[in-house]
Amino acid sequence: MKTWAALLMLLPAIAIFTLTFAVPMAMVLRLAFLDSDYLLTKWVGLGNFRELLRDTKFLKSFLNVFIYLVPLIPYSVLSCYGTASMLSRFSPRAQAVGRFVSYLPSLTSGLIIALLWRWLLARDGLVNQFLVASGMKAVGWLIEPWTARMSMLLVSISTGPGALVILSSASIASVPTELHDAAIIDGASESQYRRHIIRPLMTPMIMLIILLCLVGTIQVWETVYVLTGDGGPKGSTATPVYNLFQAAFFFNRPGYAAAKGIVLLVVVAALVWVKQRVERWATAEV
Amino acid sequence: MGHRRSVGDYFRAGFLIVMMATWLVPVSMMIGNSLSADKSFSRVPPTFLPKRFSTENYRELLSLKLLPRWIANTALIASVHVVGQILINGAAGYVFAFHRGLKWLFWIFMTPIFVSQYVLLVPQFVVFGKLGMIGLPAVILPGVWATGIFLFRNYFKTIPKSFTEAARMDGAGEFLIFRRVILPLSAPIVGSAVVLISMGIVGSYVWPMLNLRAEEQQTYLVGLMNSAINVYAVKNVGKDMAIGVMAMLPYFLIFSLTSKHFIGGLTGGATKE
Repeated sequence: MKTWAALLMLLPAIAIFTLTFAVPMAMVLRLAFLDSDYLLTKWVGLGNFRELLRDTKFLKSFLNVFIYLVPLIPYSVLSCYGTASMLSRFSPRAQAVGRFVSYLPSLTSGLIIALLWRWLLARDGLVNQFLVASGMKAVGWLIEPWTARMSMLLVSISTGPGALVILSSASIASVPTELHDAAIIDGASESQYRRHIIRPLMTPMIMLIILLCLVGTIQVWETVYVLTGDGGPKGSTATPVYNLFQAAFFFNRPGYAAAKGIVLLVVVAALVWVKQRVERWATAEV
Repeated sequence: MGHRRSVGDYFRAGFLIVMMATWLVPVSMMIGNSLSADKSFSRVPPTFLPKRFSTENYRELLSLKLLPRWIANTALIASVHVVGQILINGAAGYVFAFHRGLKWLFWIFMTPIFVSQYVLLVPQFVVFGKLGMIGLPAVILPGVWATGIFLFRNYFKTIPKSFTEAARMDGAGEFLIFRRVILPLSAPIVGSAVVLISMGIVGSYVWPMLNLRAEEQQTYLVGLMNSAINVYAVKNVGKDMAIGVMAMLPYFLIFSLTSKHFIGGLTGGATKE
């Protein structure tokens, strides 16, 4: 294939990419060195980044993500890969039902699932009614930092794994059946086959689930917006992307928000790099 | 499976039931409360299922005068995106699958995966504004879809080189080879691209909401959400939940039409590295 023909075929993609990504990205880079309130703009050099280091709410938003991830990473591996793996032992029809149910919550707007939870977690909401009825005290779910974080976790669990059960199922199904036959002939039990053959082959899939969980949690936005519009009691529910959103639209500081965006970009790129390293190391071990 | 039920089987079934329950409960509460005649938010106690059944919320939403218009708008935008994105991103995938160089360009195309859409929202709006493209043009322009380029490239790589070489010998241009040889051989991945692109359009909210200010221009989701939902104060839970249920309907349509393609295509792209 000639290079000029290749470039010609890429032309529409390059044009749209420039328009929707390259130019806006360059603007974000420039904006990060400016202080602006949408009307007056002045060059501040690294001022935004220096301010970032002392911005306790921004730093706290990373702590929040860390707190979310402690239960969420094991949960997401279990709920995505675990579900797919256990499903694969059942009949094809049961598998189809299982995949469908796993996909169901992500078919509606996340905004509406969050609204439902805000209603359930309100002072006199269903959750508190239930607690009182079983002899406990009502809890101000969205008022205390820790319970607010727990509410966030509840919502992210109930929004489901999206396409990840389907993807995991597909990648388990793609393991050649010869491997299964060979293992059984060599005297392996079904569980041994799964533990020593399937699971190591699925390491990249599991790493992908963990990475998407990490990156997805950093970028959670609508749940914070609906449950705790101001980023939670003492900034306890805000994620970095929500913090950025506040800077851009609530405090009218697009330059400062752009600087936060660049920090996030670097963090996500670093996470992807670490994932590639770990994956290479883990697959080499097998 | 033909073997005797073991403790492990019961454990697995139990695990799956718990998982499925956590995903089904919120959705079924949404459906249940959408069928409620009670308007007030401060209804005490809130219930799992409504006390008085009523289809009033749905009747109210279905009688929205602009609803057919919103459906037509969404169908139009989705079909432009499906055709445009498959051609644009498919052509890019074709180049990266069959051209030896240009690997650096491929990785540049992958960078948007790492950038949150909210970081770019304001600058994108400014760029489209300077070009006078705010409104329908900004929404209808088919985008560059990094995941799509990646999936297309991986799938095309599994097609034997002899096909493209034979066509080239016969004097076919590259775009003709892509459209007439490669795309017809790639039914599974094209099928799943159709599903993923149309699902993306049906579910996109922030960008169309910013761009389509006139009510008769809005998409199905934006129109429905704007017609009732107020995130600052829930006024009528039932109606909000009915919107949630209605927001799911287009997905069921897409899913039921194409669920076979969806899984087949993704496996094909994922395993043949």
